Amino acid sequence: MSSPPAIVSVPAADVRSRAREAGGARWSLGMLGVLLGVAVFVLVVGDEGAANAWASAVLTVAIGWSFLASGLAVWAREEANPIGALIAALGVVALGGAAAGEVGSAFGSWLGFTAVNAAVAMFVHVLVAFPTGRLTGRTERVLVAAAYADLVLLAPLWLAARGDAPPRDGMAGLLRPEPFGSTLGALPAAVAIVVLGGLAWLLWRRWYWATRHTRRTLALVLLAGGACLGLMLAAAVVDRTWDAGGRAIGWAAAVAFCAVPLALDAGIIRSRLARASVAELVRDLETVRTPGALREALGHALGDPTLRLAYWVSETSGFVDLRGRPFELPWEGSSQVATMVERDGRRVAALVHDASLRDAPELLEAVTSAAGLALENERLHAELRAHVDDLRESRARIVHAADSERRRLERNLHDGAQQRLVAMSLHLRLVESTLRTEPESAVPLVAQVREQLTEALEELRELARGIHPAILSDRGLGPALEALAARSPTPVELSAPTERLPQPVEAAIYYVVSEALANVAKYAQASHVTVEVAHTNGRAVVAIADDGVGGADAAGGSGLRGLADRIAALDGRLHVDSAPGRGTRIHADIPCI
Amino acid sequence: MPPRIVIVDDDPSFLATVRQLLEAEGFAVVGEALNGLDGVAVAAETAPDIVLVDVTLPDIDGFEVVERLADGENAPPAVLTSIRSAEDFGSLIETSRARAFIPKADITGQALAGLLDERAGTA
Repeated sequence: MSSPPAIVSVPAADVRSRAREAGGARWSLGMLGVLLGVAVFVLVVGDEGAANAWASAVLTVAIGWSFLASGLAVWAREEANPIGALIAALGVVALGGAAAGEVGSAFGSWLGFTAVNAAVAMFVHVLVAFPTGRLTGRTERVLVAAAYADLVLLAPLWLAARGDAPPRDGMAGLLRPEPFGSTLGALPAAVAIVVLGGLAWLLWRRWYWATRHTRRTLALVLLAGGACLGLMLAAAVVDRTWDAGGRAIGWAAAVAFCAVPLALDAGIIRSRLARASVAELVRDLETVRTPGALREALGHALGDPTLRLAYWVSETSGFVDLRGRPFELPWEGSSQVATMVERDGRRVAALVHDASLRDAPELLEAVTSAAGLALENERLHAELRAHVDDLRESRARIVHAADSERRRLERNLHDGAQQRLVAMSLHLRLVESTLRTEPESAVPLVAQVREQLTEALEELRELARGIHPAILSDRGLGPALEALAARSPTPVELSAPTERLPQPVEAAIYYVVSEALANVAKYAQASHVTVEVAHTNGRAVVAIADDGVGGADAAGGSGLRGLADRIAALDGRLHVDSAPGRGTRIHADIPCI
Repeated sequence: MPPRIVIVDDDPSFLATVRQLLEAEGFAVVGEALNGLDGVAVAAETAPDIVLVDVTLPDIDGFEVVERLADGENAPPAVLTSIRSAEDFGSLIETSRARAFIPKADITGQALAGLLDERAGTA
């Protein structure tokens, strides 16, 4: 028996039939809502006893239908999001409740009362679950469950147990579910107040912690929802003491109720706009010419004016900005995050954007794939700028290094050979005067002068070797490196090519080895150094490794930095690996052109 | 009475050589100092006939030593010296209050004595 496949693909026909089923359900729900709305209208207007019958009927139906319509719209657009169905059902249940309440029978009154209460509980559900339609966390689930239990079960049972009839006041019933009305102070009302308090706290907390992007989605819905819940509560409280005032606030709550579906629609339009913005971006990209325009276009498409772009430079394995300056990606946990952009498996750039855009991965993906080519172009531009900056800096460092070298030479000549020659001159003068007076005491003076002459010669030789090693130009790299190895206090194991390399390459290698051996002698406390120079495939590769203490600083030390510049000037690369306690490895790679 | 001299230079071997040379040529080296401030102090204590000062010193330089000596009472004439030549210092030597500049390689008792005679002549 074969094992089941890891990936299950859904046949296209299934998807289509499921879509057809959902479409059928929407159509049925829509028709039911329309019929119930007509029924409410006929029943309310037909009931001559009801005050403000027309207005009441129009408002009730408007509320029901606006929830129904916006719910169906959300449902049609996002089938995976259950909030659309919930909003549409809310509208239908509210209309059903209003219609049942107008029928006139006792059962109808009970049914209407319960249904209107259920619609209010669903409204709490919608507010808590917006915009994903899902309840996350125990607090949200407990709050919504408490709303349903209180309004749909506890309130009717409480009234029935007390022998009260369900209140019947048409639309006011919708706006003032009974726990706030006739039974204020009783258990269902107390629970309802706790639920509303919990809801207010939850919405405030969500708003407080929301990122800017999420706030934009939440703003209208929370504002309208919060306003009408607040007005409902106010209506219920005021109604106990001042009937007309309560009614007025009730009307205001009704208008606020109508605004909630509009706010939901606005949310939908906003996300549609986000999609449209990708199309707009594609058009904008055609005209992106000036540096910085791409960032603006992308920021506009993503709705994030704080968007920053970082371009990948593979040579340095780091990001730079458009001007080629090093760019640090934001830390984990900051208000901005980075999304990597890749083309053909190669890293191109990073979009550093508001953390809330993580909630819109499709938008990010659409935008980054649309802008891939433009980002690649800007990356090349940034890389070039980074190169130019590098060149400018290394050129300045080379000039500076040359100046320092001249200063060092002057000081060495002044403190060394020149000093000795002056001393010799004075001694010879002394010899001169001594020869006149007591010739035999001149002998030790002459010996002293000879000694000084030997020292001066040695110092001049050392200096000349520092300026340029004659053995390197005369005999080539092998003998020159052997001479370096022979002078090194740390034992050196050397292998070098016998053939001659281009003169600048030989010089660069010589100075790398010379500096490395000098560093080993000064700092490494090593017992052994290996120096390997190979000439293969038109490249010279140098590897120097010691078993010392490590910890050399390639970027900070002027010696290694200068060598890196010298090698970079030959289009080569120098790499230093010197972890503390693990010795130092220097690797240089130079093309032999 | 041999002319009395103080030598200020931060190189002990140079000090020793110059002392030997000048003493052979009839000078009395009454004081030596390895830095500028000590040099000024030693000159004040010993009241020499002449002070030989190296331009390059570890604390204050030779020009500053010359200024301080000249500001003191009964200031002895100061002679600047250096491994470098006079041109290397531009107009600094001319504008200083030093009696003269002698390159180190040219220091002799005769040259210094000549400066003292010049002073005696002008006095």
